[in-house]
Amino acid sequence: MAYVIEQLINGLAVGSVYALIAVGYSMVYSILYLINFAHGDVITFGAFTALTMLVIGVPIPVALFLACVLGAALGMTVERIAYRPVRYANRIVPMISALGAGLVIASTAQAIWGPEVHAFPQVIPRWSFELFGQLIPFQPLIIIAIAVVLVTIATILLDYTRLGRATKCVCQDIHAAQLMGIPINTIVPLVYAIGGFLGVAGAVLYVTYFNAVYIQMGLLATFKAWSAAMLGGVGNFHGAFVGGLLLGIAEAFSVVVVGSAFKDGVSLVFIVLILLLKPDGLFGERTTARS
Amino acid sequence: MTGLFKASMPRRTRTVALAAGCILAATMAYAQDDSGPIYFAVASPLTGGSAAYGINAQRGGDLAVEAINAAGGIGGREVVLEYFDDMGTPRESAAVANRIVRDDKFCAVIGHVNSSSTLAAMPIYNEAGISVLNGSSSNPSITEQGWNNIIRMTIRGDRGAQQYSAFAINNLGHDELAIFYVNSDFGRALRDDMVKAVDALGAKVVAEETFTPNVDRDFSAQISSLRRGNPDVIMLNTDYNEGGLFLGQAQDRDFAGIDVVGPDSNLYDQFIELSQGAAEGAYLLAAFDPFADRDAVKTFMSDFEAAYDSLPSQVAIFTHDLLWLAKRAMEDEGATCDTLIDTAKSMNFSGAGGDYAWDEKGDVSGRTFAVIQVVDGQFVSTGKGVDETGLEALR
Repeated sequence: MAYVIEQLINGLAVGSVYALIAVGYSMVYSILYLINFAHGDVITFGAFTALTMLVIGVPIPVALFLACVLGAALGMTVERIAYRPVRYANRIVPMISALGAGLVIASTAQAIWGPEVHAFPQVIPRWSFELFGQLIPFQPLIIIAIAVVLVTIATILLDYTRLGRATKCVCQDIHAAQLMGIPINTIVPLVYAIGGFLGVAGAVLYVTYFNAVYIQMGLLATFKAWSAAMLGGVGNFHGAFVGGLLLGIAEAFSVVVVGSAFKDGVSLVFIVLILLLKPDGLFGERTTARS
Repeated sequence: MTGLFKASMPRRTRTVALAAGCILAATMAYAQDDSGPIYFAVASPLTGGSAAYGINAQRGGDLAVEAINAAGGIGGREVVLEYFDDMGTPRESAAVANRIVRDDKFCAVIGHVNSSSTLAAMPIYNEAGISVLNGSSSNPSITEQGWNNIIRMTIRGDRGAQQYSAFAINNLGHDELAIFYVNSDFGRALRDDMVKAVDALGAKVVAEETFTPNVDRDFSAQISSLRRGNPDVIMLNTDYNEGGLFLGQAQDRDFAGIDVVGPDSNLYDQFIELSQGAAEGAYLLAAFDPFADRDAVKTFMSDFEAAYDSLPSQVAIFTHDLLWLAKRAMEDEGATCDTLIDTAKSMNFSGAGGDYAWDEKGDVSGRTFAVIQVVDGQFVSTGKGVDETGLEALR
């Protein structure tokens, strides 16, 4: 039983990380029906920036906050350069321009920090405490807590503020929103900014928990987070979060049930099964016949 | 033209050569002339995914040749290396082998590095009867095919796996092992041989987990599962990135007091860096001891560092030692290019990488891994070897 709880904590911790990154994808998708291919590279860049700031001695909270703000700014820049000029073009066009933007960001990061795997300073200490005779690690619990707090703040922002309501309007129908006088060129970048901010927060937790920052993590995170977003119902903010948690738990328990050789495979089979039963994801709405 | 012929050349060869005409005579004289340079073909991956090995082979070879030529070459003849790029693929390795064999001038081949390359090229070398001095190919089947023209420096894979297990069980006195291994050909073979050896030595494997190389970076689920088996020692069959990350991630999971034993694929500074202190006390078993307190290895390490500003891998040191072996065999033991392998098998050779002797099949015998330990965040030599008691049954 204690072992099952420990694996549940493992799954929830890694799931929280996937979830924070997945939220960024899902929000962008809900507006433009496009995967933001640059998202993974934006968050990698943010994580490396956090690393550099920590190494030169910037206090931990300041460094992490600045890295998240940089993520937000990079997200907005990607929107401005790679999406807005082609927003109404064929859907292939912004996809390619976002891929290009992602490559530029990834190559820049590689030129600055090199291709090696770097150790990341432990911003959350790796302590553990004993509970009912079982040693419980402290760090994953904090990671789960941070993820929940961040998503709660984002939820309040989206549900209870004017800004949030405007965002929801844009998500529902970008053209109608524009006709109603909603400044979409403020709202759309804002969505990218929230995605970038939460994404870098997720990335920093990812590199703290895995203890490694490396260039390819963007691709890996993209793959995992996109799966999570699909699972939760792409385009749905809370769905993406729950999808992330479920994916993490599925990974941890595939080690328990089937064995670690099949960790990635089993969790993906799990996603495919859910999508077979609910093609729009767990919380997805039918999104057909919208343009 | 005849000036190229030396008195020691067999009369029959001379007659045939003259009869065959000047051009052919020139080529043959070139091949068999024993005052001109002596050529070795070094076959290794200089491009592709395992290019780092080839570059190490080149560096080790260049260092050795420089020193050998400064010391008068081999029997007064200059040593010349020609490098061939096998790209680390079996197909290209066979092509390279054909090129080497067709060009008549080579005394011996030094290579290949990847086991799959050596396996692909060996039938060609064997048919041509050219001597093959192999450094780092560890696949057990290489010396099980009846090829009598090859020796190798590295400890073959199955015996390596036996030694890791023997170290944990005999040297450290543990009997409950956990295995964490990379899910690749190499990792699975190592795991299989290790399980057999653990069984033969009367200990048991209480937990094992694996991971997909270059994809998995989150080992938390595996760590919990391994911990649950309550092992005395973790066998870390990984490379330095994953090994370091594993230990770093495990440090809040009650792993204090569990020993760590790994292969020399972890013997890189990044292993210590990525573990964030958790690698302290870990044992790494290496094919040679770069930190040994011996003059030969110290000289090699400082020369290498001075020339290339990096640490040599085993590929570099084995390529280096093979060239010195050729010099010793030919100068001191009277070997010719054709008898190089047979002579080497009867020798005890001491090189920068330690002492070597070979059995009838061409495997190194009586040589164990060097035990390196992480102490105060640095790799240090323990000066110990592996206690092989009980492994006889497996050989």
